[in-house]
Amino acid sequence: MTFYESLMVGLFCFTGVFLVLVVLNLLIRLFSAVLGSAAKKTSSAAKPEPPAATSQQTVKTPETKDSSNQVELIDVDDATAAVIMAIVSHETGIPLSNLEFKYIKLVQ
Amino acid sequence: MYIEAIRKIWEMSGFAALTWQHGVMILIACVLMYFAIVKKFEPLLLLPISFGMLLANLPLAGLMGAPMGEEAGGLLYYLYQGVKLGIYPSLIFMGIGAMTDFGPLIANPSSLLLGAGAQFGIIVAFIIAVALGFDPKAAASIGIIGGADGPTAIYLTSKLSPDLLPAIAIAAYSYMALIPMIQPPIMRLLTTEKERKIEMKQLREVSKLEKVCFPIIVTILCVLLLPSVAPLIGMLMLGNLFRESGVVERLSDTAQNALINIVTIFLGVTVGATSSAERFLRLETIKIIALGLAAFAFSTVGGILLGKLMCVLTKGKVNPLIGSAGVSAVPIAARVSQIEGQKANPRNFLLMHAMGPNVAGVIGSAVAAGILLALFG
Repeated sequence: MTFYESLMVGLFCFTGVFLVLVVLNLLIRLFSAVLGSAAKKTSSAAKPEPPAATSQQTVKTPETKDSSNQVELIDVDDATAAVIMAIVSHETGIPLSNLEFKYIKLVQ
Repeated sequence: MYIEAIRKIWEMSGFAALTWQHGVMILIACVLMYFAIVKKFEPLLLLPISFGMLLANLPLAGLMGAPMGEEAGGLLYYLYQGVKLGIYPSLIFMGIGAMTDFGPLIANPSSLLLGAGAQFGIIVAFIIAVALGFDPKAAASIGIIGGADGPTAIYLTSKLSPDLLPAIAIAAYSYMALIPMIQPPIMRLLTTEKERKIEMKQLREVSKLEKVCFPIIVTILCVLLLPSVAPLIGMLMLGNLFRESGVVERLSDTAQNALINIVTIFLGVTVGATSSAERFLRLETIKIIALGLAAFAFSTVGGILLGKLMCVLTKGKVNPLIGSAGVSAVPIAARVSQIEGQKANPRNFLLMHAMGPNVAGVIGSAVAAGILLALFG
């Protein structure tokens, strides 16, 4: 094989890899968009209708805990706090959304 | 009489058949074992490979001997059939798939492009190998070292150029272990301090449905486009589907633990056992080792340059350091991006962003192998 031929084979191979991965990229975007819009439709269909003004009933929606918004950071930066929270979640096996952090404090 | 008996025993022993070439190979095997045990360089594979090399170079043991008439072959000869037929690399891919979270890739599909860019080394090494006089099949096998993916390198080489298997497998795994030393100087050379400091936005959460659909879509697309890559991509995605479906916990657990461990032992020992003195002690081996290093380096260059391009196109939202993770050594390459990013900016957390190109690299190198197989197989 000559140098020129090897160059052409190389270019063909590289282009081929790029094309396959570009198509895959587009497919992932497409199915993410389709699944995302389907999920939105489902969630909006499942949403309970707001109670009528005259109704005495109140509908309670389950509270979702967002510990990251409530946690008080004392001498700790956001990134470190995020890492600590992720480690606690990983070690305990409890999803982060089910954990409640009151504060994270640097102990010296 | 006793002296005669001792002489006969000596003549029948391996010591009498030992040549200096065997001695050199035993020494190389011991050095590799040292790297695996003491330096912990990819010990899971380097240790079985080096021990296989040791076994193959102890004369008269005949562990790799083919069957002759009524006489059965050696133990490793039979185990080697799994390499020869491409079974072990595919099963290892199943384990890798079961261990891999493609979430970061689905959250940021553009990282697929970085996985493609980091296959640049395959092409460069292929062209140089041809220029150095290797035939196209051998050059393709050498080039695939740049994919930084051991099973893919072994799979392609066993199909195209089985004679070069020991040198290529050892080069691939050695350089994968050396990624923390090979990549950082190139990363620093090709990026500015400002680029390395770029903090990337947190990735979106990926739904379970997306994760379940991903392996199915990838399999359909890749296998239809490149049927030759079906064993690798098919098994990779099957393992991933086991993991993400959540309904076959036992199979997923077996694929990512017991199965991959058993296959790793067989693969490592038998690949090592192909390194007989007459096959390994050649000028070609030195060329392959050098070309492998060039392949790794140029793959890193390709990933970083594409990362820089994406940085420009996104107006500074992409840190180019994640491009180097496009070489598929998972997760070492992603960790290197994380470490280099944090050196420049301690608030930088690039690991999850780098995992996208990293797992894309696995797909990219398998696709590259499929194309080379289609061209030269």
